[in-house]
Amino acid sequence: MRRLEAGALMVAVSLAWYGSFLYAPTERVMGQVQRIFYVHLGLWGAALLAFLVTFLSGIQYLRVREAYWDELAGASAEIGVLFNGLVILTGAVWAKPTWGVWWTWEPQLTSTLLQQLVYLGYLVLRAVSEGDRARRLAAVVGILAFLNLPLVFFSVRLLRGVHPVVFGPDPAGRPTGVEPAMVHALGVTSFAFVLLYSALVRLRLRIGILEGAVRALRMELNG
Amino acid sequence: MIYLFWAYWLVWAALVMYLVWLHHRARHLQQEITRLEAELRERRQPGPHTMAGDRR
Repeated sequence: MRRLEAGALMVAVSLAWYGSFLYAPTERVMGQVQRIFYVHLGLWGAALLAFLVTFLSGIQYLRVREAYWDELAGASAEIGVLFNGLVILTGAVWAKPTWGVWWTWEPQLTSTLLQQLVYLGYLVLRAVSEGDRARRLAAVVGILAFLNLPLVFFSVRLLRGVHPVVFGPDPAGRPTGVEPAMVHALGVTSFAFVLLYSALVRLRLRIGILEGAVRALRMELNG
Repeated sequence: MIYLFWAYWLVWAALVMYLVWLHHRARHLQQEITRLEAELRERRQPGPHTMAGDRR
């Protein structure tokens, strides 16, 4: 990681902490615990970006058949799974004091868990198979997995669950709103996660390429 | 507030630990490549091509 990038990341993370804990006001109904919202939604945005990159890289791999796009798809999915896992974890941390339970089988939570399982399956598929055919299959699974995401996004709007709708009208058609200071805190936190995603995906991609080089060298040495 | 702070801390700690692990893995792989390349070079070094007799 370059020094400038590391510096920008540190500044963004510090601003995210400042924004979430000091700048944003305390929410009227939920109180202090609502502050998990910034990290929860920021992580979800970064996970969405990661899965979008997997989707686009999968399409590009099927078009040009270059190993780079396959590596990028895998690297991005791995980081997406990490981010999405943290979305589920922070959601549970938020749910316990607000709903009284760590987990409930409501539409948004269930579809998010389903999304996590689909991408975990995608990573397992990549881990156990090799060759061009496996790469093509992984690309197709990566593309199909992304098609589940609108279900996650719209489940909270179309199906009546307990998960709050933050932006846009709720299922009953009532307008929802977030205070500008809260939107700023969310924006800064999301930006910090996007920067972190960018650093992680490039590093993970490099590791994939290096692993390939090590495999090739070992094969050459072993004849 | 402490509960919330811990949750925040855990999220960032997990991400930073992953970042550090990736750095460590990349460095290890780079070292492995250097070692394997050296081994390959050593193996490719030509041995003696002539067999001159000892005329002492």
